[in-house]
This record gives sequence, C-alpha cells and structure tokens, in this order.
Amino acid sequence: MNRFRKIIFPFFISFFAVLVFVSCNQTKQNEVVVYTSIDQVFSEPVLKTFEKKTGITVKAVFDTEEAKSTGVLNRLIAEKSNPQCDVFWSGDPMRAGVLKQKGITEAYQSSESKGINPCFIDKDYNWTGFSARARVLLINTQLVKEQDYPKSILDLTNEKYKGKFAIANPLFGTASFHIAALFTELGDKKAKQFLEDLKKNDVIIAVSNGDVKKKVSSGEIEMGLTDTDDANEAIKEGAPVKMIFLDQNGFGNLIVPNTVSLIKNSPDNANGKKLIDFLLSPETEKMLAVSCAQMPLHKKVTTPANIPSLDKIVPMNIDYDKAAKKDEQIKEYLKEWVTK
Amino acid sequence: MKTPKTKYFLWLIVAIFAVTILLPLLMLIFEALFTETNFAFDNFLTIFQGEVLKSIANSLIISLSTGLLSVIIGTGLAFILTKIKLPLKNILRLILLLPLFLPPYITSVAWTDFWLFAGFPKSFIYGIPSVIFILTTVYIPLSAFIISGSLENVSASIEEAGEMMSSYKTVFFKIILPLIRPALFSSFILIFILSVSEFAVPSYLSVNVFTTEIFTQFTAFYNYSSAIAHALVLTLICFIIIFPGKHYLLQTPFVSFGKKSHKIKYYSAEKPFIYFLVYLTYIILFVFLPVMMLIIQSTEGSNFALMQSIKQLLPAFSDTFLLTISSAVFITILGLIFALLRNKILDYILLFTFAVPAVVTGIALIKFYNTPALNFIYGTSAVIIFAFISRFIFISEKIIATGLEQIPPSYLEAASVMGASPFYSFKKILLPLTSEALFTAFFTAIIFSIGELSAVIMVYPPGISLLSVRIFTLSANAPQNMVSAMCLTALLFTLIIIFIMLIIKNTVFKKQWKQS
Amino acid sequence: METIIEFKNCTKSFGKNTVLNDISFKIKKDTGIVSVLGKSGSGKTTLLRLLAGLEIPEKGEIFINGKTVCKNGKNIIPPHKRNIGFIFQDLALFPHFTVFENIAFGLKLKKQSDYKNTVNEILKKFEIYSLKNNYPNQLSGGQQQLVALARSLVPEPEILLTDEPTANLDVKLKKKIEELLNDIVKQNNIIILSVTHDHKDAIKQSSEILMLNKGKIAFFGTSDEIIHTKNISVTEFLEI
Repeated sequence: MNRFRKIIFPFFISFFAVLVFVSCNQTKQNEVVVYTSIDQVFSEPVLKTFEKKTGITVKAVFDTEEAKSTGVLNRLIAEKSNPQCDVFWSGDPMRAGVLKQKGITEAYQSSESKGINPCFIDKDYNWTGFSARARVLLINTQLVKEQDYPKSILDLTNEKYKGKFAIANPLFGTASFHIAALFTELGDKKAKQFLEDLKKNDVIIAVSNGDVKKKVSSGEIEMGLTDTDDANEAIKEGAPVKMIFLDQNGFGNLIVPNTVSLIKNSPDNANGKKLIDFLLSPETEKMLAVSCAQMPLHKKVTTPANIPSLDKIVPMNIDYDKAAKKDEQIKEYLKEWVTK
Repeated sequence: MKTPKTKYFLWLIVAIFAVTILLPLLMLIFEALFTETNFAFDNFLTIFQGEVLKSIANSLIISLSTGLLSVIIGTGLAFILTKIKLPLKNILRLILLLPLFLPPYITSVAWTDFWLFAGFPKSFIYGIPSVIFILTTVYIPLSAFIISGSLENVSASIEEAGEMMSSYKTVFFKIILPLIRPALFSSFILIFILSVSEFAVPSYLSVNVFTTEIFTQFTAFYNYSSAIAHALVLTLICFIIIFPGKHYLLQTPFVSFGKKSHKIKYYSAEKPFIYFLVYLTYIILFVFLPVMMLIIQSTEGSNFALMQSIKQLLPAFSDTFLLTISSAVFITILGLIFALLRNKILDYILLFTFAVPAVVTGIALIKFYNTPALNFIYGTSAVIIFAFISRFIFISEKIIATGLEQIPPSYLEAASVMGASPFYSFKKILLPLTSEALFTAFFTAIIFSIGELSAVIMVYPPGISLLSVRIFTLSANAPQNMVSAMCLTALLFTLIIIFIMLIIKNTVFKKQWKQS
Repeated sequence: METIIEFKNCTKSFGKNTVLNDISFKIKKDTGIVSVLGKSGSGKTTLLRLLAGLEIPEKGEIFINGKTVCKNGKNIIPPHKRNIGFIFQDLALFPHFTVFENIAFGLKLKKQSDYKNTVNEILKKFEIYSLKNNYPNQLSGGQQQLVALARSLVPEPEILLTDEPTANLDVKLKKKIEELLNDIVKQNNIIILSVTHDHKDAIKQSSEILMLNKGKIAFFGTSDEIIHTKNISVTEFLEI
C-alpha cells in the first residue's frame, strides 16, 4: 500500500494530469486546421488576417519547400485514414496533384475562383490556383555582362556557361515541377538530351531554391534558376542581382501558382471552405504580392511596381495535371541524374 | 532491493512503454515489410545497387571518421579539462558544450560562409572532408564530456603506482587509456549513430549519403515502404557496427559520477599554460568562430534582426519550455525504472528506439496514434512527449544506469540489515545517491529535446509551436541575418534554461558530503 | 546453555565455484567473540552474509535462537528481522548522511521516539560526539570505523557481524576498538562473529575460533584448543 501511495499513484496522476492538460488545450472551438508548404513568414500573416476577419481560429502546421524537410505532404498521406487537416495550401500544383491521385482531397468549386483563368484550376476542382510565382533565372550582375545573358533555358547547355550555373535539386519542390513541365513541353527525348547536356556542362545542383539564391547573390556562382519570391528577396537584400524571364520569344516561362485543396473527410469541412474562399480572394493575392512578390491571378489587383505582371510575361502553356503526372514518371530518372 | 511486487510494477511500466513507444515502430516496420501491396523483399535487393551502395560507403566514411576524430580530439580536451589545473574550469567546460546547442545545419552554414569568406577552394568546401570536419566540431563536446567523466574516475593511487615505475607518457598510454576504454568506445558509438543519421549537413554540402536516400524516398517518391526499408538497412548497419562494442555501450558508463572515495590526480605539467593555450585555441577556432560568424551575419543589414527574431520566436518559448521539461520528467522516471531492472533485452530495445532514424519514429507515431479513438494523444502535445521519449530514453537510461552502478551494493545491504524495507532504502539511499545522475539525465533530455526536429516536425499538433520547428520553417526563405539571429536566440534560450537548471541544482542539491 | 546460531549442512556456491560446502556448526549464547579465520577466498565473508540473510544457501538450514531463518534456498526471515548488526568491509557508511543520521538510521526505522538521546549517548561513549554533523568523507579511517560500529550497535542486536573491522588501523585505534567490542560483549551479552586475517589477535581476543579451508570447516573450538591442535592445514595456516 505504501509503495502504491508513494510511487505508482503520483506517477499515474502526473501522467494523466499531462494528458488532461494537453487535451483541454484542444477542446473543439470554432477552428480550422491548415497545413501549408508556403514559408511561414509569408503564410502566417495571411492566416492571421483570416482569423481577425472571421473569428475562426486557424491552427496551422507549417513546412518549407526545402529538400531537407519530409514535409506536410507526407503527413497528409500518413493521416489519410483519420484526417486532422481541413485545408492544404501548397506552393505548387504538383503536390496538390499527388494528393488528388492518392484520394486525399475532394472537389470544391469556390465562388472566388471565377476571376481566375481556368488553366490554373484542376478540371475536377480538387485544387484551385491563386497567386503565382514564376521560375526565373537569377543572374549576378557583377559576374555576368548583359550581352551574355541567356535568352532561353536551352541556352544553358552552351559551353559559355560551363560550371557557371545552378539549379535546385530537381527531385524536390518547384525545381522538380519545372523539369516536369519541360518534359511535357519538349517531349521526353529532347528533354532528356537537354538534361544530359546540362550535366556535361557541369551544372551545380543546390539544396534548394533558397540556396541557389544565396549562391548567386554572394557571387559564389554566376547564375541559377530559382523562384520569383527568392529572387525578389535577393533584390530586397540589395544583392547585385537581376532576374530575367526566359524563352519570351519561344515556348514561354513557367508560371507556378499556389494551390489550395479541401481535404476529404476533414474535421471541419465548412470552415475549411471559408478559408479556401478567403485564400482565393483578391485580398489574399494582394497581400502575397506585397509580402513575397507573387503575381495575382485575378485581374485588376493593384500590386507594387516591382512585381512583374502576368500580362507582360509569355507563359509556358502547359496542362498542370499532366505535368504533375509526368513528374512522377521521371522521378527515378531524375534521381539517377542527380547522383551521376 | 526488488520485492516481487515492486518488480511487477516496474515491468508493468515497461509494458506500457512497449505498447506506447515500441509497438508503433514495430507495427510500421511490419507493415512496410509484409502488408503493403507494392512492396516485396526484393526492394531490399534494389537498395544494394550502384549509387546507393556509394551513398552507404559515403555514410560509413563520414560517420566512422567523425566518430574516430571526435574521440581522439575529445580525449585530448578531456585530459586538459580533468588532469590539468586550469583557471575557470567550470566555465571552460560549459563553453565547450556550445556547439551541441546549435542545429548542425546552422553550424554548416556558418562554416561554409567562413570558408568562402576566407577564400577556400570550393572543391574543399563541398565534399566529404568538410562534412567530417563540421560533424566532428559538433560532436567533440559529447565525447569530451563522456571521456572526462571517465578520467575523473581513474583513481589517483593507480596512476601514482604507475608513475613510480615509468614516465607519465607511458602511464597515460598503458594505464589510463585502457582504463577509460569503455568511455572511448561508448562515445565513439554514440557519435557514430548520431552522425550516420545526420541528414542536413551532408545535404547542404552536396554529399550524397544514405540518409539522403531515405529522405528522397519520402519526399520525392512518397514511397513509405521503400523509405522504411532503407531506414531498416541503416539501423541494421548501425547494429552491425555497434556489435563488437555492444558490451561497452550497454554495460559501461556514459558519464561518470565521481566516487567520493578518491581524489583526482592532476598531471603536474611543467608548463600548464601551454595546455591552457591549446584548450583556448580550440575554443576560439571551433566554438567561437562559428558563433562569431552567426553574430556577424545577424548584424548584417539595417534592421535589428536579433530583436525581431526574439519577437518571432516568442510564441514558441512557453510551449517548448513546458513540453521539454515534462518530457524530461517522464524520460528520467522511465530511465530510472529501466535502469533499476538491468535487463539486457530492454537495453537492446532502447538502443533500437535510439538508432531508428527520427523520421521513421515520426511516421510510426502518426500511423499508430492517428485514429479517432487516440486523438486525445495524437491531436495534442502528448504525441510530442512520446516522440521525445522514443528518441532520447536510451541516453537518459544509460546515464542513470551508470549512476546506479556506482553505488556499492553494501550500502543497500547495510540498510536492509538495519531494517529498511526495499522501498525505504530506495527512497533514502538509492534516490539521493543517484540524484546527480538523475539530474544529468533530466538535463540531457531537455537539451536534446530542444534541438529535436526530424521527428516532431512530423507529428506536432496544429497550433503548437516548438522552437526547433519554428526556426526551421521560418528560416526557409528568411534572409541570412534573420536565420542567424534566430539561431542565436535559440542558443540564448538554451543557455538560459541551463543556467536556471544549474541554479536549481546548486540550491536543491546541496551536497556538503561531496566536498572533501 | 541455549544455542543461538546453528548452521546445518549449508552449501553455497556462485556459479561453478562452491564457496561453502556442507557446513554445520553451533554457537552457544554466551560465547562472546567468535573469530572466523581462513585464507582469502575460503568463504569467511560468505559465512557472515549467509547468517545476515544477504545470501541464501542452496542447501541446508540456518537457525537463529532456534528459529529457522532460511531453508532449502529460501529466506524465511528477511535480513532486517533477524536482529543482527553488520559492519561491512568497506563500512558502507551512507555518504549523504551525517554521522548522526547514519547512526540514527536503524533506530528511526524501529520508530523509537527517543532515538536522539540514544544516538547522542553512543556518540559520547565512542568519543565522536563532536563529529556528529560531519559527513563520512570528512572523517579519518578510524573515525569512520567507530561510526560504523556505533551504527550497527544502536539497534541493540543480539549478534554483531564484523568483516575485518580493524584492518588498516593503527595500533592505538585498533586497541580502542577491541576494548569497545569487549565492553559490549560483557555489558550487552551479545555474540560477535568477526572475520579477520590476524590470527594472533584472534586467538588472544576471542573465546572461540572457526577456521575455514576450501569451503569446509578446518577447525572449530576454543583458542586454547587451536594452539594445541595437530591438524596440518590449521598449523600451516597459523605457522606454528
């Protein structure tokens, strides 16, 4: 009895106290759960605005697009049998595509999606695109003269750029989407040849787009492919860099929209839809334009002067769904390519 | 000391542990091996091919050299710390630990920036040698800490007896080194496991290692079974490497809690200040330099990055504090129970939970706890506590077991002859005498938990904010000065916790009986 | 006279090593000091530990005051109910207790209300009262020995077991402790079973001598008898 009183009892009491303590924390309120792969610095303020506006508490799980993260996507897949999340906010349509294929998302056609070009919306409404980034070439202006700027992504196989060019690991994030888009645009044979030539030209494979940005701004390397938000960050920091859109006279530059999806059997579907409506609104697009230079997909959203407008860019015309599928097909090949 | 009833109780706790922590891992492995439709054993065979084989080789080269170098340099530093009379010894000891409190990824950013700044060739920076270099600087404090504890336990009379017969050099190599061999081995193995599962540093330096493969399977292919098969191979390799030294790892001290019966023999160096200088040089080059790089980076740009980062991280402080402390309480209690049982199979089980890559722990916890019935665990911070326990119970148990082993059995026998019940002698003799070990285990659990990222990022419930996760997600696209500032903030946070703990230790555990 | 200690066919082994082999002997109540002699490894310490209940013989029975304390590999009466004091070779003073707390440990367990007085008395008697708030590591070897002796005596045991109590002490302290032990035997009428290396002292001090050799009893009798014995293994050991 003594023993019971002195150890067993306190042990269990404290154990249950902790459980109760943590359980109380999660008493169901008016809330919505969102998982996002958008950098926390940018996504958090948007979500806070939604909270203020609607009074619905947003509980978020953040992640990054960096390769070193196993990511919210894996979590969503692992949680499939008992979803914890209502809304998935992705930085690119590819992840949304993976979830769609695995049957984790469900269709939702938001009233806010009307102003958005249908090419940025999944045909089954499993995801809807908004604020877009573009893949750009970031160039260190101190190291490369203007007349030497490449015009097309295909120019990068030119001897002139040997060892002077970086791309983020194409197994992950937007870089992987970029390659998949090239495959759909050029066809498998041509695209593979392009990659082989890149490798022969000593392309440097960076950990992430952020790493590409860092390497170019510090002058460690002459130029690299990255996203507009990273490029914009480098410009803001005052690095001697310039971003250029490629293939403006050819097949166009890849545009990567954010996407948002509703999770199937989610705990709070109604609030999830409200959050999706908010994310797809011009208001959100405006906020993201200011904070991370994302290009609005709605027309007539006023943006700061430094943000390129979609109207002035020749976009690569691709089927996002097809590219997402292509991405899965070429992964094995890319894995070999990276380590070669 | 164990009556049947207490024994049943202790085993009941073990059973709870087995169901809550071990079972999820085993079920995940079982599922990956046998029930997933797209998976068969031949997936194992594909692992051992071409590039993957090369990545295994890279992993082994990196972790074996890191282990070896850390032990050698750690022994040197430990020798200076314990055997030479130095001023400000306690502060010097604490400073040495600093690299452990920084995420290894950040340390590699700091080092590469320094190398680029100093004009090192890129071929040096992006390669295996630099990975080994950085990991070694990160883990040296660990080996120095373990080895210096063991050195303290070498009895002065043994050394003096040796010195009567030969030079100190011979005594060191022929007597002292063999005596501390267990500590050398266990620190080697510990560092080996930690560096073989390290992912961030090699990937930042563009070195392909086996853990890269696991992450690729997860992140690029979303192929669980293959990722888990890879992880199993990694665990297996760890076990094979560990096997020859398992005796040392499982049966011998991690940290020694100096017996009070003997004095430490100081080495009467002719010029002690030379040793002091060596130590100082080490600290300046390998501890201050990366920290200085962080400070310089954080002050770049016009805005006050440090203040801003404190503001950004503020929401994470209280959650991190509460969760790491409460996990450490559980880890310490469980560690004590496991240590009391002294069971070999249990030792291997704990080693297994430690050697399994953290991502796998994370996935296992999701798969097991994410059911409507268990939402009170999965949807709450309880799952974070489980993750911490799973990751670090091994280390804490080892520390406590060491503490227990150093209590002579005659103490308990004396108490029992005088009429103390097992529980009474546990409370009055065992517990006070292991208090230092318990404290160290508690402390270690907190430090490791603050830095844990790979497992908790998989399971942390929405709305809960942990320092490591928040830094990681915030730093994704943040400018370098913010990233550095956030890491400095985390370092500061850790140091504050350490100081609080040390103050508590010095006020609560007043140990006159230790000062002779 | 009544028998206080009886070993009946006791065997104890550790693994393959049989330390005590089929040992039987009896000790009467007013014997006083019994010295246990023998070479290292002859089983002296094990004998004490069996009696204290810290080890259990696989075979045989042990009786204290006629009661079976252990039988056929089972402890029937646990160590702390045997009313035995034990001074360990390493003394086993609790390092985290003061001298006073060390001595009071057993009394507190017996819920004696005036244990403070009892402890203070014995501290004075042993001339270590001034050290009562010191910790063991602050004491000299002799002082530690006195504390260990006091600690084992305060619960007023019937039997006191000592494992080399005066080893490594200077002559003066040794004398002092021996005198104390003699006093205690006379005043409290207790039995002391003392393991020692020093056979000369043993013969001088004790009324009976138990000698072990290779796990067997080589000799058991009074000190007078041992001097005149012709048993070769005994004479060899005693170097007579």
